[in-house]
Amino acid sequence: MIKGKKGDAFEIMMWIVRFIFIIIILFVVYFFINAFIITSIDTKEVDAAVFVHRTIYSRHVLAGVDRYTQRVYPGVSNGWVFYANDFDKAIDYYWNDQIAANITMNGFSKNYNQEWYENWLPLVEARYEEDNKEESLKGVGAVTEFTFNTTIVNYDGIHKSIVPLKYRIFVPNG
Amino acid sequence: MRLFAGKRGLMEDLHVYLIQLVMILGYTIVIIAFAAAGVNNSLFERAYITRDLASITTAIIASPGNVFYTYDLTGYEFILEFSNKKIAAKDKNEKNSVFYSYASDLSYNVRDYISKDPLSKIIVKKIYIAKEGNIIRFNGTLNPNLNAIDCSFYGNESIKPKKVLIDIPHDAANPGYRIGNENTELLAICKIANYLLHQKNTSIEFSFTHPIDSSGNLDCFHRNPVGIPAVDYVVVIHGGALMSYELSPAKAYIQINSAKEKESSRLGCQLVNSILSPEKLEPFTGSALISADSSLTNTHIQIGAIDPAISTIVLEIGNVNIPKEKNQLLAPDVIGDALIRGLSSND
Repeated sequence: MIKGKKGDAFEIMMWIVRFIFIIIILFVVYFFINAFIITSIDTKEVDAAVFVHRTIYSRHVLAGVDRYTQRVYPGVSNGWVFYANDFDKAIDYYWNDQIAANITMNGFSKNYNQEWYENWLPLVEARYEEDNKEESLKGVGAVTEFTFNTTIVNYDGIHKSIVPLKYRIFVPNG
Repeated sequence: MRLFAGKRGLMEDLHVYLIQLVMILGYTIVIIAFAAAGVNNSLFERAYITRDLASITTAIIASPGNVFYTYDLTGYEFILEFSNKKIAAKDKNEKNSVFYSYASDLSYNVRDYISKDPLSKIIVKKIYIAKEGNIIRFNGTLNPNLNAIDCSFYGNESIKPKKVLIDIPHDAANPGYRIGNENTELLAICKIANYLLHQKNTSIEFSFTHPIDSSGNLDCFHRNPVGIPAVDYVVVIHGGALMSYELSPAKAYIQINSAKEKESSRLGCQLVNSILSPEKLEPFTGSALISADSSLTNTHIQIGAIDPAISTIVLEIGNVNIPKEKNQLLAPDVIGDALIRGLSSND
């Protein structure tokens, strides 16, 4: 390849360009094929909905439990249950950065996965301007927010009332 | 650039071309394998199945009662592994794992499972997810007893009473006598009590609210005078005479304000589960432990002043009104054995 004297430098440079060109072509082919192969599935909304229903209907979260028979009262809660139950132990994922939430019942608020809720809050609230419109952050590194508003029966053993129940759920995109 | 440099340079150029050719061939093989996996959609399917199963498992763990779910993997050659709050789908060589996390509950006992038999190496095609009490299993049986109650809520120690008073149905105004359809209930349960009377191979000492007649059997239509002997528990057996035909529950009313409230709940739970378990009986439609104050249990038993140290459990063991061929109350030996089993500790 190297033939000495004048043409050598030019020849080496051309070979380098040729290799770079081939590598670029190979990467283009890879990305082109990869674009047609779907391997990621977006289950963020499902995860958030399951989380909401779990808190309302499940033992150890919001649903009250009969003192004597230990039967669960789905959709019935009270302030004592709200504060006494450790939500992080009742809903425990393999990754601790899978979901985080703020739950407000009858004006009282509590966070699930406090650490990541605080970590993600700035990302969720960050905005940028595009075409004179404010947009939330997008992409793999961003976090999607879901909000749910419903009601729950507040029963303290004597009085029953229907109180609002609000969720602010963060699920990472990546 | 010259393609062939001539003479000395020719061989060097050929070497470079060969290197390029090998690179491209290797890359082509990798790309084809990658595309083939994509065409088979195995990556997508494994990702889909792990997420689908994770959502289902989370929902099952969240359910207030017992749940059984069959997940069919017929047509797939994936091995599924459930451990440490995640579900992994691997190919049949146990490689290329794709996994996703489900939300467990630290209070529950979630059993690990792999869908490949370690001995026969057969890949299981159906995953049976079962929530039974605080136990979550991925290899549940086909016909689990979904009505069974988790007795561990009422204490880990089984209750084994030594002396038990058995009461059979009666009318409030005329103890020991019932009319119409309810009479069927009385006779059916009297047979069960009679079966218990004649059991000698049990450590439980049974006594009854009805006298023993000259033939050595219980007199179903008369009743002992008011007052009860010194026993650990009173078990009142009912057969759902007032229920509709569609219902056939096993349930226990627990006297919650007795001195033995927790023990009564545990024993009531044992009895309900033992009643549910005989496989030869028609499936029960439900089960429950229901808290009741002493006035209710006293009304049921109609035996006047009760020693506060004695706790009463009112046990509903099915429905006397369901068709005769399906009526579990007409199997006194099966129900009787189940009662002894429940009183002897087994859940």
